[in-house]
Amino acid sequence: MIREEKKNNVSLIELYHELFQALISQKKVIFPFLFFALVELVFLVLIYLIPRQPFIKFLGPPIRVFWGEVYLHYPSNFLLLPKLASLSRNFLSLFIGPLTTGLAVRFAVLAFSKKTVLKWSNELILVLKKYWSLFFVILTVIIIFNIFLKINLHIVKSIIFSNIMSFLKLNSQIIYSVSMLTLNFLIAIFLQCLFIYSVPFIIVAQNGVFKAIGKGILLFFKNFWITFIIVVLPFLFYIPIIILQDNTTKIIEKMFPEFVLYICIIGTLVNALIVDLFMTVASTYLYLKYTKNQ
Amino acid sequence: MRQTRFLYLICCLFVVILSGCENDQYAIERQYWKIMKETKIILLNPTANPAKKFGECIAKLEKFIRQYPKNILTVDAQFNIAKLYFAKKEYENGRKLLNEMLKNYSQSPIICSEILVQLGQSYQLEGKIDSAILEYEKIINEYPLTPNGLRMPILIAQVYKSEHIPEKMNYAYQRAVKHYEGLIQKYPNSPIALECYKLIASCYTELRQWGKAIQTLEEIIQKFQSKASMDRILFDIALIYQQKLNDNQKARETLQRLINDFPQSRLTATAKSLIKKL
Repeated sequence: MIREEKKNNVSLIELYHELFQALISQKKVIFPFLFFALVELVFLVLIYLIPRQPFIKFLGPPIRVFWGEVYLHYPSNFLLLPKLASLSRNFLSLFIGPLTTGLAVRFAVLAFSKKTVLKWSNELILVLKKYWSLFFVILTVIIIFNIFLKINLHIVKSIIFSNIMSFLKLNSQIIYSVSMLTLNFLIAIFLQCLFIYSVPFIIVAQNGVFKAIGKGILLFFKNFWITFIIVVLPFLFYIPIIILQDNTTKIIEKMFPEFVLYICIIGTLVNALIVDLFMTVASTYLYLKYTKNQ
Repeated sequence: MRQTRFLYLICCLFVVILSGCENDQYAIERQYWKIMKETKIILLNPTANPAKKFGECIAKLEKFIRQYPKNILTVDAQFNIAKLYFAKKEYENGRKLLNEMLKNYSQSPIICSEILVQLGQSYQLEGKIDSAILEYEKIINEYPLTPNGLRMPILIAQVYKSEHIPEKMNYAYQRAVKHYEGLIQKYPNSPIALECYKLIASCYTELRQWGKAIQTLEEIIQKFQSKASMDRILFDIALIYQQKLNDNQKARETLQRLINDFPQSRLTATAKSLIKKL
């Protein structure tokens, strides 16, 4: 693995230099992420408006059934807002994500090849042909992540109830928060790294979904550290959002309830325009570099 | 041009939809929350706030009541005005307001019982314990099945406890047990009976009559096993054995019973770790 990395040897500086050059020369690369952010913001506004008339008539009953009447009242609705925003993000990632990610990879490839996007509709048709493959990849990531969320919860609970905790006399609430945050963060990073190259293999090399996943995982392990870094670096911008969203009760007490909505809006923009954008474009560049070398 | 017209149409649609939001329940709750934020700051530390602040807060709450007289939050607003009067030591103004509320909400036993609790607490703040107890006794007589009515006999005992009058406290707990036994006879095998049994157990716990407390808790399990989850009850029995009677063997047996009968309970993990320590 280390020998392969030395042979390919793409430096971070070169990578991000090319990335910024591509973004400046071909601004259209940003458009799919911008579109996703806008759609997500519309959903966020709708979620915020659930307790209001007339939305409460048809959006209120599911909230009442799954979470309780209290979340249809001010300011408790803000306690549920981050969770609903996360669920809507998963939903949009699954159904719109294949299109936007596919288009972004197509535009990035053209940008790195110093070509221009001639017709949007042509690119869209090419991506639509691979919609279900991309859908399957995103669905797999979401399912595996949710399985690991449950496993993490079980691990953390068994640690909290173990003899070690009572011996060390540590506050279980702090241990729970920090442990869950760290474990979930590591799992999210690892899953992103595993599947990040699958999309370029599907879109550019036109591979089938299982072949693309297999090749993507292989490419990741051959270029472990640089892939890890291109995933972790943008993710670091999202950590403050995660910490704030984990402490909505304190935010409502210390600041004002609407602050939770502002955090969700910033989180949406950071996620789409920094995390997803930089991870997708950087991984596309590395894919092009490494497959060209091979 | 087409795109501009389309965006304009979407914006108009949003404005029309959102115009229905203006004075809905959510907007009223938001308005009330802002008033309550200021009120809570004053109630948390009354002596640190000038009289003017009290007046402003009361005025805002009164304005809210006039704006939305039929809203459910109006009841809470009136209670908070009374609390502000009591914090300002204007006890008579507060009681006058609460007595008016008693007339206006006479159809609601729960609200009336809460009003009487507030009246009693105002007398307690003034140091007039006997007047406070009289108000609390009214709740037991007139609204015995409300949540306040059920816990009132124990609250009276706790008032005597806080005033360091042990003989009256013990007598109040014994009266409470008799009162609850009377309710159990009147409403056998009902949720009220279950609640009364639990309150009897807590009375015996306060009186340090551990044997009777355990006996009452076992009776709850015997009579209500099929109607409610008994994991909490078993856990309480185990704690009494372990902490009060120093009988680790019986405590372990009870915890094991909890684990066997309620393996999915949230208390199972705690019970298992407690067994290891015993």
